[in-house]
Order: sequence, then structure tokens, then C-alpha cells
Amino acid sequence: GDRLSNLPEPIIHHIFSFLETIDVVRASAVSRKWRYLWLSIPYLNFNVHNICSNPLERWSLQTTNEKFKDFVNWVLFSPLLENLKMDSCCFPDLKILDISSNSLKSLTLERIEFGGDELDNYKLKIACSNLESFNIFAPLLPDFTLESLNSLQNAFIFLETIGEYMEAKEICHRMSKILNGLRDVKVLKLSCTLYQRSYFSASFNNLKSLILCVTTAEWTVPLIIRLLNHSPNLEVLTIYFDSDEYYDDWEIPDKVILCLTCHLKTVELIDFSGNENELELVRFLLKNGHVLQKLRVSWLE
Amino acid sequence: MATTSTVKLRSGDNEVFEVEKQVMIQSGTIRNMIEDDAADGEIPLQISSRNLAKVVEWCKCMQHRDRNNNNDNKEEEEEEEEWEKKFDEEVSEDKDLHFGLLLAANYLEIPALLHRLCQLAADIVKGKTPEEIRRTFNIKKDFTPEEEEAVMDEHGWAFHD
Repeated sequence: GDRLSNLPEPIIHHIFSFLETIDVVRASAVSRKWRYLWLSIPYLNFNVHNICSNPLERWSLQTTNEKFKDFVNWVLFSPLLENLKMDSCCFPDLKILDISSNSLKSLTLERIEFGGDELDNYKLKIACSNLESFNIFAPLLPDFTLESLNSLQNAFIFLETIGEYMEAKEICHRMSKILNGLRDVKVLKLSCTLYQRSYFSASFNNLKSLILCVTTAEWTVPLIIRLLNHSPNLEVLTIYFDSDEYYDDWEIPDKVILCLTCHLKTVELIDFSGNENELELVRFLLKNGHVLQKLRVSWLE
Repeated sequence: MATTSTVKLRSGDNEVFEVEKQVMIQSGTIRNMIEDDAADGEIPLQISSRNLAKVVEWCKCMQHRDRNNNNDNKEEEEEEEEWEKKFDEEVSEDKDLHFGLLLAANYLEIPALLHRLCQLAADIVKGKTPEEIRRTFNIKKDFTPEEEEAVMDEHGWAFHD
């Protein structure tokens, strides 16, 4: 065989470590032995300026962008990719972010920025049938689709509105759609600061642990109650309080909630400051939590 | 007890090189032998005399450079740079030497030499099409027609308009 391909693999990786990812990936078309070598390189880098293979053959800006997009897609959605974390990614020209993969097990989207101020034109679609863990910290886009997330175990959803005022009804509509895509999840962490109306139809039959970040705004109570009502098998409830922003008096009517009667064993209240609202919630949980074994309160420092 | 200040290296084709220990301790493999007092006789190596001579030359040059690092001798510095440049050119043009040295540097555990040789290999691969890489390194395209088609499909973004 040829001598380059027969070098020990660590040396080949060492050689590849000096190359741009695009050179390494291009080299996979050399021979059988080279085809999958690039899959074991530990780091990837993408640089639109390196996309052109032949500097004499100039591509138009549009062609270059198209090819770059294909290249990134091809690498990221190789059939072996299991973990993808996109942090601080900014997409000034992107209209659709479509992450569809059957191999992906863990996906984190953090500080994703879309260009311009007209967020209404953007579409985010996630369709990953084997995804187990999903974390998102991003703007609440109008067109946010979660599809076939049937393997999902953990989800951390932190969505925020950016710029213009958004009607409560609109927020509710968008959140409801998202929650519907998460209905199989076992552990759900949700920031509720936005969620002024508590309508959603999804039922979380698999949900064992619910973690909420709440303010003491008046809409928080109906939301907590609705989430409890829709999580019949919930065992652990954790609430992080952020009591700085609003202050409305809570009154929580006693009523029978399935998970409180049969399954909820542990409640943890974090950043507890001891105000009337928080005490009302404690009262409600103690009175209605028939199988509650442990209530842990951590005070706000 | 190690008493001599030199070490004898025997190449695969039975040529013996006597080199100062101070030079050869750049090699992790030989350093270990010296430390274990296992370097008093000849050390047999599965490296051809041509490649071993080049490795020894490289180690001498690096040791010389490190020793002179502190005094500002412009002339010597230029000489060393010139030597390195020549080394790079010679290696890049001679695949036998290049691969032989890669394996030797790997076997002898000389990280700086291995690093340099890998960098040179990467420079050769950089920016080349698969066909050019095949031609340069004499690699046979061994894809089945189906695989070839799949590869071209996958790499549509890389080459065509």
C-alpha cells in the first residue's frame, strides 16, 4: 500500500491537525482508507474563506455561501454525530435553522442570535428521533417546530422575547406549541418568566421531575397548577424563585391534583425569600401533597 | 554505571553511529535507555542508516541551537535557519525520506521532529484535490463504482460549480 495511508493513526491525526477541516473532509474522497479518517479528528473548524478549493477558480459570493452551507451541513449531520452544542452562534443571513438527525443524542443551543430585528421571518425546526437531551436558550421564535422527539429524557427550555413587546396571547400560543413537542420528556426545566397565560394542551405522562424558574407574578400560580395537573406521574418538583420583578398576592385554591395525591414525594424550593406568596405555595403543597416525603427550602442568600 | 559521554546507535543496515548522549537525549526512547543504564553497548534500531543519519543530524542542529539560544550570534542563527530550510525542502521533495523520518521520529519519541514532519506533510496535502493527493502520494483509488458515486455525491459541495 501507499506509505501515507499506512502511517500509524496517531501520526495521521497529527498531520490532519494542521489542516483546515475542509481539507480533511475533502481528503476523504481519496481512497477507502481515507474515507472515514476525518470522523476521528477531535476538532472541527469552519471558515468560509477556505471553501474554494482552487484559488484560480473564483466562485460567486452566492455559490460560495451555498457551498459553505452544504459543507457545514454535511459535516455536522454525518450519521455519527451524537453531541452538538452551538454556543454564541450568530446567523445574520439565516432564515431557517433545521436540525434533523437520527444520530443526535444531545443538542444544546445557547445564545443563538438571528440577524436583523424582524424575528418573525425565522424558522427553527428540530427533528431528532433519538435525541435524549435538549437545552435551548434562545429567542422565542414564531415558527419553532419540535418533531419526533420521542426519545427525549431531559429538556431545558429558556426562551425570551427580544425587542418588541409581544402580546400575552401570542407568547402563550408559541409556548403551547413548544410544550406539545416535549410531551414525552422525563425531566423538564422550564423558565416561566414569560408565560403569562397558562393555556397549553400537552400532557406530560412520563414527566418525573419538573424544575421551574418563576417570578411572583400573578400568572405564575395558574401556570404551576396547570403544569401539575398535566403531569400525573410527577415525583419531584423544584422551584427557583426570582422575586425581584413583580409582586402580586397569590391565592391558591385547594383542590385535588392527581400527582399531589399519588406521586409527588419531593419538593425543593430554591432562592426562597419567605414572602407571602412563597409561604402560600408552601401551605398549598403541604396541605395537598398527600404522599409528600420531603420539602427542602434553600434561602436566598 | 554509565561512564562514557557517547552512545552508539546501530542502524538496520548495520552502520554504527556514535553520538553524544547530550544530543540523543532529545529522543525519549534513547533517554530512557540511558537512564536505565541500558545504553552502554550498541543500541540496535530498525531504522536505515540514511534515515538515522538524518535524525542524528537534526538532533545535533537542534541541540546546537538550544545551547546557543542565549548568545546573540547573528551569523550562527542565520546558518541554522538556512539548515532548517534546506532540511524542510529535502524532506518535502523526498517521500521515502519523509515517511522514513516520520516513523523514526515516532519510534524514537522525538516530539519536535515529529511535529515538524507532520506540519510538512500537512503543507503538502493542503489545498489539493483528492486526485492530486493520490498522484502526490501514489495512492490507489480503491472505491467500488457505488462507493465512488456516493463519495462524489457527498462531496458535491467541494468541487463542482
